[in-house]
Amino acid sequence: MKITLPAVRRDTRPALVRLLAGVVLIAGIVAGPGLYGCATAAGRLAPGLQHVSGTANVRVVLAFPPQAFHESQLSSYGVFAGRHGNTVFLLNVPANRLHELASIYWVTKIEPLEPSG
Amino acid sequence: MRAKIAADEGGTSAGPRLRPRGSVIRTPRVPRRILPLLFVVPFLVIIAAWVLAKSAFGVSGAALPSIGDVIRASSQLIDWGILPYDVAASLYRIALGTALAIVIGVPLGLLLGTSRYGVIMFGPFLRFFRAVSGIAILPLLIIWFGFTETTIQVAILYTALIPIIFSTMIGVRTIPPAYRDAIETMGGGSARLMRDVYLPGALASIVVGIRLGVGYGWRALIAGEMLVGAGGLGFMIFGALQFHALGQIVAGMILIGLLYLVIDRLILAPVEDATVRRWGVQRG
Amino acid sequence: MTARDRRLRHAVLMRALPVIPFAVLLIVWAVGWEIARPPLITLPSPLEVGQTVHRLWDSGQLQANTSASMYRWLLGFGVGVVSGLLLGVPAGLSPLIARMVEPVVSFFMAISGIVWLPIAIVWFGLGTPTVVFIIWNSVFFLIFANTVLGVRSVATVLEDGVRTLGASRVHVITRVLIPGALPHILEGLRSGLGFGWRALIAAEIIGASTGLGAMIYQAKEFLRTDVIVTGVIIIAAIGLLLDAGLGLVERRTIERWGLVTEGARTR
Repeated sequence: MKITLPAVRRDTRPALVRLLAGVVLIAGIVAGPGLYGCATAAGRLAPGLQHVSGTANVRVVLAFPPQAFHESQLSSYGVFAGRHGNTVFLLNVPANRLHELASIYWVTKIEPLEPSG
Repeated sequence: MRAKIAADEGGTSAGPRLRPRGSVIRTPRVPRRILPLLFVVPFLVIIAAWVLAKSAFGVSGAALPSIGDVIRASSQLIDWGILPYDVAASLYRIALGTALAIVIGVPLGLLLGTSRYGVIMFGPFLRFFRAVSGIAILPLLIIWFGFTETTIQVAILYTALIPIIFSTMIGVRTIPPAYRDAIETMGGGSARLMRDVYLPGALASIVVGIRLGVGYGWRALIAGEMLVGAGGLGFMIFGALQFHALGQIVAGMILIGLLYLVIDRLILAPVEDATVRRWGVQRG
Repeated sequence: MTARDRRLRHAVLMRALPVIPFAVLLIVWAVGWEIARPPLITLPSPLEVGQTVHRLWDSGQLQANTSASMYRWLLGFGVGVVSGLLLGVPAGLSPLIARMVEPVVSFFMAISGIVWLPIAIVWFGLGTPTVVFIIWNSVFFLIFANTVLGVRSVATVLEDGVRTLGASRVHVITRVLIPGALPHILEGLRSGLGFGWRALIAAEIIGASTGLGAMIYQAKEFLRTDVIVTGVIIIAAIGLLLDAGLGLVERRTIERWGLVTEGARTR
């Protein structure tokens, strides 16, 4: 059995390029939506909710009828209080989480909930 | 010899044939430049067959989604935020499971590989548990941990652990004793031995094992997600059954394949290449 | 100690050592169970597992499920091997096709197995056809890839050399290519056995109501860990047999013919 000594470091550049491409791709897929959401967050929050202290009751408007997935995702931000059409109602959303809510890219806009009666 | 070929295969007046006519399959001469791009041809064939199946043979939407269906389903799932969520969930799980398997498996494998009787003693033992695939152990895990994240994670960990232990063991075993003796005669203790001889020497094999582990683990992940129903790509394609959303199923399948290929060819394979080049001991 | 004694001791060690981890596991299991006395739903005692085996055997359930699984596996594996070889040999003969086909095959291998389950259920419903399809799926691409690899690895020099000596096309294929490709093909078969078996179990767990996979999945509904453990042990045992089985054939044929490739002996 002939043994060659541990290989002298050859040019591993092509391998590194592929590695970089792969990492960038995966990172993009994982972080992309979140980053995009953050970048466009400003447009989602209604003016009345920009500087809220305490908690707020909101209508979360989507571009489509919400499904179980959306309800369970949104209900971690506040108390789920029903839905109507493309809108989900959330109560007692803390102020700091409002901005998180606005960073969700599949949310169209967040408006204050008029107190009903 | 050339003359014989020419005479044999009937040289023409233009000169002797350079390629023997009777070669088992005749290979058409292809311009060098387009060679690398040829890999698209089979995919094009599949797409053509797919389109044909829908248009010419009229396969119903209940059996096969159209390409348009798949594209529509994908864009809808993205718009709804479901696809990125499931992709991220699956990727996170495989990453965590693999990381844990490495952290636990490599030291274990080093230990077993360096002990004189380790391989003999634990070989069949490990092989037994390898035969109990990660998927077969899911029912038991579901009883123990319920339909939770933990079940999926444990399944992935279990599935990835064994190839990593095995390949680490083998990697250690194939280090030429010359290197081990060299360090020993220089007065190296066993910790030094570990770090300078065993780990680098086995590294190439370990990376191969990691690749295997990710491959098996990915499958266990999909199966686990199908059963446990806590989000993820496996859940996405399985759940779509209920709604007969074939476009979603096929979109998910394609995504699962592509993601695995990216992880395996663009991340793990380069690491393996680099490791073998740097630390691999070639056997002549 | 004479050399002969040393060899004897070595042989005995080789046989005895592998048993130790199993023995330890069994002892820890039995003793631990006695001490902790967990309810049946968590872990059965070894004794209970033994009783369950007996019971399942008596009721015929064990045989029925095992034979259902084995039948499906044989079918899927058989069709997979035949189709893999039939398509792989011609594909491998042309270097162009072999290279062209590689990415597609890689892609389908990436999704082979249970990823096809949902669509298979749409096409075939639950039960045997679905399971067989999944097994075929797992085995076919593997065998195909290995066959192509094997055929391509037969040096064209060999082929051309035999051709120029006046060999007929058939002769080239049967006497040069196939034996030359055999190590890779056998390697593929070897992996395919275990792969197919594991794919079978996976498919049965999710998509069938009979068979060993279905048996252990249904047992979970009733929290029958004794049935599950029994099933798992049997699944593993058969899997082990399959993993080891081909090794014997390999030893008799290719190693005898001196065609061992570098990696073929790592197990």
